[in-house]
Amino acid sequence: MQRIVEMVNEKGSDSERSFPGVEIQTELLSIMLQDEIKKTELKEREINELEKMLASTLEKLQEEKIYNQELEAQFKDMQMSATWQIQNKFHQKIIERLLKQGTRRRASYDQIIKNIRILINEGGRAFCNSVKECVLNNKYIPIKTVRSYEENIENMWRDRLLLKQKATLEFKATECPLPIVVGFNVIRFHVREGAESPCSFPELKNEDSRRLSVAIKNIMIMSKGYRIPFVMGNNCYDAEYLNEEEIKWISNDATILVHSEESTSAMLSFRLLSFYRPRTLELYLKASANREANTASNIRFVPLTEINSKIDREIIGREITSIIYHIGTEFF
Amino acid sequence: MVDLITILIVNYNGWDYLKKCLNSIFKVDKCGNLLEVIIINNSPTDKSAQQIQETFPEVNVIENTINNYAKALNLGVSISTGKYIAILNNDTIVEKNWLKELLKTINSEKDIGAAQSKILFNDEITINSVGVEEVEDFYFRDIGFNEKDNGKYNKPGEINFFTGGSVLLKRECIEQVGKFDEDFVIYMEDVDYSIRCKDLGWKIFYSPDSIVYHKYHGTASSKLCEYFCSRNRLLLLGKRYPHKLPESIKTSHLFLKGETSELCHSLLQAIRKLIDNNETEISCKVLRKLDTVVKDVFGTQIALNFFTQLEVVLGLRKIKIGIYDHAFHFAGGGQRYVAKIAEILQDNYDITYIANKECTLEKYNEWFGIDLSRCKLKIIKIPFYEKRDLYYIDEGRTNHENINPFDIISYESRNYDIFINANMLSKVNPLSCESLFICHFPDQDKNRFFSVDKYNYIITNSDYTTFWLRQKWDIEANLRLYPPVEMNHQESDPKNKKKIILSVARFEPGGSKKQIEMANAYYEICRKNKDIRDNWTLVLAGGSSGDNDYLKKVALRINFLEIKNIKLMPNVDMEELKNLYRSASIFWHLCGLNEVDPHRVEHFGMTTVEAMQNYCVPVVIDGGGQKEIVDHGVNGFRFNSIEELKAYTLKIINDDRLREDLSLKAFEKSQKFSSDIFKNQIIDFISNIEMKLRAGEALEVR
Repeated sequence: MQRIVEMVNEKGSDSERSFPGVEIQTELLSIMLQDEIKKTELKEREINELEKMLASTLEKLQEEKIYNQELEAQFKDMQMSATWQIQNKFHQKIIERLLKQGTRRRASYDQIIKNIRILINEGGRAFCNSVKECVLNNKYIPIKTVRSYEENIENMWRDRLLLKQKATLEFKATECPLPIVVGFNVIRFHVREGAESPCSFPELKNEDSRRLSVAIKNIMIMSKGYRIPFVMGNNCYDAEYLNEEEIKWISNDATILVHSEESTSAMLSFRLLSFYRPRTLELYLKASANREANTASNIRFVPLTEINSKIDREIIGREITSIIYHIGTEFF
Repeated sequence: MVDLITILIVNYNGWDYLKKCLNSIFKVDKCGNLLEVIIINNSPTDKSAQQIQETFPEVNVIENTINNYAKALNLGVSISTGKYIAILNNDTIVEKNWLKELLKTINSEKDIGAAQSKILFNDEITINSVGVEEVEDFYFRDIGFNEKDNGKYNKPGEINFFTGGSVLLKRECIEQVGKFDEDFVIYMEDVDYSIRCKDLGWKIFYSPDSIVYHKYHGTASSKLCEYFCSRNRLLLLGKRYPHKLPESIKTSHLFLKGETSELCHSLLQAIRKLIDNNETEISCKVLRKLDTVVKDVFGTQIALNFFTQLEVVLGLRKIKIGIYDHAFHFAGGGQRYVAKIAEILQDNYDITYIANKECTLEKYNEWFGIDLSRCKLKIIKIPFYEKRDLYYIDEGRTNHENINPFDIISYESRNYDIFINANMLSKVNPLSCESLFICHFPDQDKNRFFSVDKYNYIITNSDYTTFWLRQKWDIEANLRLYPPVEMNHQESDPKNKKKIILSVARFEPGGSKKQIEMANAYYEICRKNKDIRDNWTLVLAGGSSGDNDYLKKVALRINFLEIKNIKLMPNVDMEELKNLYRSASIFWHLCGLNEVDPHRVEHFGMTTVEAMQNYCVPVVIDGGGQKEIVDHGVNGFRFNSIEELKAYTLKIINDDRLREDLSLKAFEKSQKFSSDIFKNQIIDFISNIEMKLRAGEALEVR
């Protein structure tokens, strides 16, 4: 483009001396033609590369499939073996009784077993990393049982406002006191302006159609100097990396679930970023359902008085049909 | 000569006003005549009628089933016997000379048919009305409204229109003119009546010394007044001045305020009036003029819908219903639910099923025993899925598309008066006059092309779904319609049950129905109770398709537990299933146990109802739709953990009397989900939509 502009400028000065129009047009056309050829070549090259990539991926996929089938066969054999059966019985009779599912004891046991497996299968470094991750992130979640839906998921909407915070286009540290009660605690991230998809904004040139409201990172709940474990509930997207930092995008009304065995005052902290435009984040805590049985009311559509039977329905009908036809042809 | 004078008062939630009004009526100077007071009670909810009878036993009270003022007046007139009939608002207080002066005026000339009082506001110095006059563009207003009563309106004289707030009519005049036009409902019915009186040569006079004090909008809101005034203006034009109707649209307050749907509806009613009251030739001329105006005002799409609906309004054809089910080719609970609706409606409506894949209506007879022979089927293939050779129409695949592949269905929806989106495809934008979205559960997120909020009505299958619909999509449901359940075995008897615990649930590949957990729990129960181990059986019945790994897992688990009294019965036929229900004493339902995703909890749970219809005592998860079916401790038990499941089951097993009591109550509760109730509810709901399509008016009914 720059070249074309330069040429036009050059020729512009010549034009005072000769007949430049034809020459400029011819040269412009030849440059545009060359550009087009180059573009086509580039595209063809790209297509070739992509085709190669596709072929190699398919090949890999096939290999993976075969490997998978082999592993499955091995696993089936293993399951049939006497050792496996004995181990299974031991697990059922001893472990399930002593270390019941959902207890802190069981969670610790599972973690230890997992780490031993990592040590055997992946080596010392992976083992160290796993232990470090476990200690630092307090990853295990000692959830006993989901007590009652009345107390958790369904009912989080008759809720208590904990915090109202402006989310901007830059990460901002946010803190909020959290009165945690025994059992399940549901914290809801409500964004007043709602969520939007990147693909709705052409200027972003992004085909991502997820509904995003805000992103959060470094989220933690602390009480008496300890981290309280939690799980991300509805409307949270998988973790992703932004500038090498792990963040989580959430849609509207995302939830986090905290299970606690005691009532305590905790502090919820995280860093908050809004998607595309500033938004207002509201944090709500727990609630109980506001179910409605039936929305029927005594407002009904009542017919108007009966129409005169003498009207010429045929003529009126024809008239309306012709109007519909007229509008229809215009519309389609 | 002693005459009988009838006083008609229409009451709507206005006991406090009415009491004062009646007190003042019984103090008026009757000039030696007799009074007959008739109250027509229009309020379906308040206790005015009872209070009136207790306080004023001489008053005749009639209950009206619809809150329609004009209809109430007609009702009052029809039972009145007086030579004169006075119409009075319920929020008025009359002066002592009110009746005497009206009588004086009305009898001053033979051809005076109606006499109108001077109506003042409660401050006693500001005028409310001394009659009605036309201002411009066929808008009418009260003469003297809000002016101080400084003597300007103290002369009696002829007026064009009376106001129904306080008027005396001669019976002779009423008999000639006929009934008040009930289509006007409220407001301007008096203007219409005045015109009709004058057409027949009756005069309307104003009587300045007959004074009434009025509490303005005491019982009717100003919003209601604005709506009915604008609507009735169009009705009056359609009825009396048809040529003025097209040009009056743009000067309508409804148009100026941007209330398009109300304007559209009122206009349809006005055209109905036009055709009903005028020569066919005039009607056709006006319709031709309206073609351009309607397009201009509403746009082409709405104009098209408008004239299509007009055919229905005038009863020129049957109502067309289009039912779109993108999964029509699969046999599932959702399909059965909608097919049942189609089966019920097919005789009264012209129903077309819209599907995306080849299938036949006869299949539904095979699968569910549902006869859809009076419905039509239209297959519209969606190129997006055809190109990719996809058998499942998964809307999630289209989230990244620039053009909505379901637009083809949206265009099709234009061909119907009512478009029903039967299986929750959230990306179809309805273009029909009325649209209905059936939601079994809002499992999708609000993604690209989301259009559910554009539907006129939403039906859900349970309160649980209604709740999540509100939370996930921020949409309110209009009707909760439980699926119909008919599984009662004729020989079911609560006293003739076998020692069977039954579970009927699909063997879902993901294990969401929790058959393994059931086997484990039952094993635990048997391990500690020899009697149960020896005498009771757990039957795990349910559908399974193809090579089902989960079913294999369940079988393996049962083998592993080495317990003989667990029976695995996949894919039993209907007769066998009915026999199982008939024999079983207890029914287990665990779907949703330990789940935190609301979608994975049973949204309703038809099998629980089927069991209850056969006197099985349900022990079910305390979540999802099960809460609406089973009342804890009344007709079954709801548990939150396997421990509770075991405890409640043991309680029922060990207490024969409790088991029998619960089974009887379970049966009683199951009747709430019968086909008859389903049928009545859907007919009632659709007929209300039909009435709207036929340009009926939304009114409070009893």
